[in-house]
Amino acid sequence: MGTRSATANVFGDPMPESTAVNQLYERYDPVAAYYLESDCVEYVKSDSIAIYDRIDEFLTLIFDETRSNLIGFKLKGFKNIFEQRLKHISQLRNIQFIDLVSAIETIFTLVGDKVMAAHDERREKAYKAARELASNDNVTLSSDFLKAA
Amino acid sequence: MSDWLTLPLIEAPAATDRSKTVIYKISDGFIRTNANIRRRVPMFQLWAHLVSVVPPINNISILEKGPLKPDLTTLKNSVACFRGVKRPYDDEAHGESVIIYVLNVGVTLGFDPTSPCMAKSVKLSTDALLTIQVKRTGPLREGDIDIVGIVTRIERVIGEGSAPCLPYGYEERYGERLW
Repeated sequence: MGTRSATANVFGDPMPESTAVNQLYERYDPVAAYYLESDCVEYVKSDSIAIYDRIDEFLTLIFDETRSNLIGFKLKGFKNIFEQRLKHISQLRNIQFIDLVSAIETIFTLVGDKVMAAHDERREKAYKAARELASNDNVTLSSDFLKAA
Repeated sequence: MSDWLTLPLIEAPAATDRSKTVIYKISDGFIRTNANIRRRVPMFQLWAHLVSVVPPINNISILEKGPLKPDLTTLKNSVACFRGVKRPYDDEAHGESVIIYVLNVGVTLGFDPTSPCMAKSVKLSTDALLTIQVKRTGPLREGDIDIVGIVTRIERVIGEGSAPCLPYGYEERYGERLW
């Protein structure tokens, strides 16, 4: 490392100080991320204080502090959904990114009967809102997310 | 400066016996992912509300000397503890080994790129709260310390009730209330 300052980081690898500085100062660009230990994909538009609103076991909506603006969503139990439903489609299409619009639609197929039978407007609206956000922002996730996590 | 991504082990009341103290580790993956996508708010909140110090970043003393100071807490300030998330989680059908701590926090830390320290204190409404998810593990040793769980999430959620404020719909969303 020469004279360059470096610190052993939480990942067990040496982290050049410049990297940690960048991670503090650089601009936030909205991107979907997979969190391995909690097995969820999360997308938020801004690095702000957010409020999480649980919709059901698969979907949580994320609002800004005013609670009137949807700024993101969290898809839970994502590994299983990917392995069972999305992986083969990605392989078939030979694409490197999972379109989260498709992921949300796929998840809705799991709960849709129940939602419709119960006339559960809140859940239906929530899935529509998440889908719309994913579509408008063209939210994708690398299909290598399990390796990267 | 890179210390801001190196969070220490934390103490917490045991899920099964609030009078006992256990040690948790904050998930490396959670820190790495947030750092990689430049998402600082959850990291700042981990420092303030689980480690009970402001994050070690340049010029943070501005906040410490300012009129609105963040609440510095640990999981020992939790007002409730639940077990189970009622969804598949790893190999578990209902996430039975997931513990959820509830913190009622009045002032937290947010990201502010216009501030010399990149952080700001933010007063929170009292009808929302912080939940901290911990995945219980078999004993992990770090030096001579036994770690019994990994902190995997910190989230602000809508609450119900007051003093304490608990997660909205907690009876349906979690397996059981431990204390």
